[in-house]
Amino acid sequence: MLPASLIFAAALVAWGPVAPDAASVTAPVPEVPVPATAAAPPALTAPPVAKMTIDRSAAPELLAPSSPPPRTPTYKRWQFWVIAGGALATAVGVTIAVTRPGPQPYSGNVPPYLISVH
Amino acid sequence: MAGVPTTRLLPALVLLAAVAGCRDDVTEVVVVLEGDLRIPTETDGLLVSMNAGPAAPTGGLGLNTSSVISGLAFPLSFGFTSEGTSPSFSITVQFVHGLTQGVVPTIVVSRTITDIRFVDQQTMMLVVPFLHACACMGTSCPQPGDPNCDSIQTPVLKPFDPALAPPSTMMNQPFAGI
Repeated sequence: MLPASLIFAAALVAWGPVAPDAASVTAPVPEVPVPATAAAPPALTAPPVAKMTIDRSAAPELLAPSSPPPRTPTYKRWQFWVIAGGALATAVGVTIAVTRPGPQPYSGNVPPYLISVH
Repeated sequence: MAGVPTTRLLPALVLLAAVAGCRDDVTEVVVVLEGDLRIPTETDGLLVSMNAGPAAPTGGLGLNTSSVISGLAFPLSFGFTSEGTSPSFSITVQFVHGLTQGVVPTIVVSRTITDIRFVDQQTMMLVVPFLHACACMGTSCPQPGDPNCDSIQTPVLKPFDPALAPPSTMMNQPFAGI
C-alpha cells in the first residue's frame, strides 16, 4: 500500500547529510607574517648536518606513506541499526494499520437494520 | 545509542502516524424509535420508506421495507451509513396494525423526517418518539401542531449514545442501499 520510495526517502532523511571526504577538505593555511626586509640578512652557511646522507633502510616504516585506518563495517554503525529499526517499525505499523478491521457500523434491531445511502 | 538525535527519528515517526491515522471512521445516522404504543395489540408492523436526499419518500422512489414487530419492544432502531454521494436522506416511518392478520394494515402512527444530514466520520443518533397520543383514529390523523407528532425537517442530531440505542441484533453488513 505504501510506496517503497516513500520509505526509502524517509530512510535517507533519517540518515542525514553525508560527511565530507577528509581528503577533499583543505585546512586553511595560516598566513605567515613576512618580516620586513629592512636590512639584508647575513649570508648563512649550511650546517654540516645537512650534508649527511640518510639511510632509508634503517627505518622504512617512517618513510612509507601512512595507510588509512580500517573502515568500520556497516553493521557496526549505529546509523545502520537506526534505519533498519525504523524500516522494521514502519513495516510493522503499515501491516497493522492495513490489516486491522475498521470500525463497524451500528445495525439496529429491526428491519431495515442497516441501509447504505448512495 | 544514547547520542542518537531524536530529529533523525522524526521522519519515521511522522510516517507511522500518517499511516495509523489514514483509516476513516464510519459516517452513520442511527434512528431510534421510541414510543408508548403497545406491541402487538396496538401495532404489529413497521413500514419504513427511505429516500436519498432532502425530499420526502414517495411511493415509487427509494426503498420500502415492512417488518413484523410482534416479538419486539421499544426502542427500535436501524442505521443509515453514508457512501459519500448524498449528504442527507429522508424517511417515513409508519407503525401499522393488522400486518400479521392477512388484511390491509391500518396506519397507527406515521411520521416523516426529511433532510437528515450526515456528519462526516461520526455516528450520530436521531431519536423519534411515536406516541399513543399521535395515533390516527380510523382514517384521520392528528392535525399538525404537536412537535411530538409532526413531521420533522432537518432534525438536530445527537452523538450516538449506546445507552439509548438497543444492542444490534444484525450482522454489521448493509441490508440494502438507496
